[in-house]
Amino acid sequence: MKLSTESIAIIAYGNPSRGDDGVGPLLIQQLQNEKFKTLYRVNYIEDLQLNPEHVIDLQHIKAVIFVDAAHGLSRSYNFYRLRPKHNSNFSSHIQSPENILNLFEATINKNAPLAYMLAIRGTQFALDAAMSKDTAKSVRKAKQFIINLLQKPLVDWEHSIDQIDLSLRYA
Amino acid sequence: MEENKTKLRRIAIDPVSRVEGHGKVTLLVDDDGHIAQARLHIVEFRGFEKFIQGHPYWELPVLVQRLCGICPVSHHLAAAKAIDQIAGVDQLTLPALKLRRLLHFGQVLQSHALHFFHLASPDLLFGYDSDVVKRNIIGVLHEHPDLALQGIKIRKFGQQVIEAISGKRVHGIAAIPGGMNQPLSQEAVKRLQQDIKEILPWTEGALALAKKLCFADADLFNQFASMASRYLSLVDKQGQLELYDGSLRIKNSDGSIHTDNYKDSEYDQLIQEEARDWSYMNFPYLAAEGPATGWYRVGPLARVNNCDGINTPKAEAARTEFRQLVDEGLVHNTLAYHWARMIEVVHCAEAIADLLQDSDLLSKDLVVKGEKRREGIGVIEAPRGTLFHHYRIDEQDQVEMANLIVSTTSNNEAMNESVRLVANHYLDGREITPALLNLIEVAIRAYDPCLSCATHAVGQMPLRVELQDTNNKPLHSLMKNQRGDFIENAQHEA
Repeated sequence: MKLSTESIAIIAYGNPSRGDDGVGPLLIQQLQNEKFKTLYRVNYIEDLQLNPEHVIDLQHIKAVIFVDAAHGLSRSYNFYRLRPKHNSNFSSHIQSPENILNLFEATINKNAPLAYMLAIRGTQFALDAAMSKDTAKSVRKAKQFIINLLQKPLVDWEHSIDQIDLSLRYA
Repeated sequence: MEENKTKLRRIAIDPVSRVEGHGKVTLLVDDDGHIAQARLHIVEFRGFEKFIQGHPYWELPVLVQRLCGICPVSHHLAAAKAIDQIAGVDQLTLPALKLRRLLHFGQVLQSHALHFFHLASPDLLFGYDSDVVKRNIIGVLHEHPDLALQGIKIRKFGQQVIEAISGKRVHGIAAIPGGMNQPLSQEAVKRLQQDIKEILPWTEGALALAKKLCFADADLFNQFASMASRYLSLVDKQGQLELYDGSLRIKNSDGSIHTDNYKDSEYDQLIQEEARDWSYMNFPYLAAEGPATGWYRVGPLARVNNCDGINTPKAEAARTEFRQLVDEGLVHNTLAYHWARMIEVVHCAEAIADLLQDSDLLSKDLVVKGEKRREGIGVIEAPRGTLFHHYRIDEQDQVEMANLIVSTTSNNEAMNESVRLVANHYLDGREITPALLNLIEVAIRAYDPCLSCATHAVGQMPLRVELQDTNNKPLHSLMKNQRGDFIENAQHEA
């Protein structure tokens, strides 16, 4: 497998102290600890929540995968395409990935990179809650999905897209 | 304020946000249409102390970072100050102290930048009653293209300061019991020295803009949610602005000193908290004044009102000008929080530039040892105001008691009162208007409350406003969805 010169970013966000909310950071940790072949240079980025400066992380990359916990998802995980969109929110403490993409285009004056969401099913989000067994299983499945994805050319990623599970709500 | 429940109608503003926690405003309206009481509900703060109890004390500086996705460093440093005492250390080495200060300046800088550039500036630039489609960061980008990018880069710089000191972007280890984990590298210092040259003028530009926008509508600036109050903050030994360590000062609404040189370690004799059955968040008050009148404000406005000076020249010049808003006494304009916040941004940038010239940042003399104690209290000025961390450990070194008063809690009563004033002024008839909903948001935003003080928050954040009669029958509702659209009678809930 020949390494592409293309870089991608995986931005995982969530609070590990809130049970299943920490699925994103956990997934990144597991990916970093596992040896696997990939076509890309992968930048792993972990944060408690999305912030405007994540725009800077989107520079010079071909694609980005946002990883987040999702409440009410009927499947273990859901992978789908994201496009820039502005959201009007009550507080600056809330950023959607679509908003970050929109902010990127408006500030950097370039088209946003290809963007995807990997939403992983979560059920318990209380402070100091442990991760649920079901979610831990979902993280393992999502990890395998990502590993497989990173071995495919970007043009083939579209074939891995799910229908958006309309029942999901992000955690 | 005595509530007459039988004669009040209730208006609920309900931002349904995330799985854990959300904000909500309820307005209690009497038959004459006056807002008798405003209730801002923030459920996020429950469970913090329980979360901390049972953990070994040395884990706390790292653990508490997870309480807040916006200002984890403030919790980190407040906990570290408390844990220093438990480790028997009252005085850090100078290099360790300077590193902590640098870390804190980086945090405050980036937190304030987020609020001003991405939240307050759209309101200020376009007016509070302007089209919501325009009144957002994208609107700012179209008409002031440099501003949003500067905001992002200032935040990024603050993040780089934090990363350089703590080694990681999140959950890093910077402060440890009795000191700091590692010095800055020469390379990091050089890089930050280079970057701060660009950041400093941007912060001055932000300050100039904040001031200009406050004056753009002087009548609004003067009346909007303005109210006389007491202010509480830390100050240093000379009475100057102090963000990391100092003694507590409280000023009365007329500017006279209520309390000064008060040891932060005795905070629990100064401040008490009242629980109210409708709120998960307590109401702190000055013990000497009682719960009815003992409330106070914290944060940038409190700090700039309380201090006698600022030890960096540009910020001090700005403070002097700010205080000239009034002939005597204090600046009570709630919208002046934005201006004061930008004075602090300039101060942080100046202080960072100064500290980056200090060779102590490279020193490895970073840790002091002491004899273990059972109790520690750490108080710090977080971006949103004074933050208290108080811990007691048991014989197994585990935390048996934790008490936290976070800044937003201290502003609880003030935010309620601000919302009440605004709603009283702008409520017209029996319908919630988009303008009223927006203005209530503006009043709350001035305090930059931490509504998402723990989890990240990507989900829906609509605002729902509901008017109810005395029998809780919904009369009218208005919801603002995530796109900013207003939808009438979208949802009626008792």
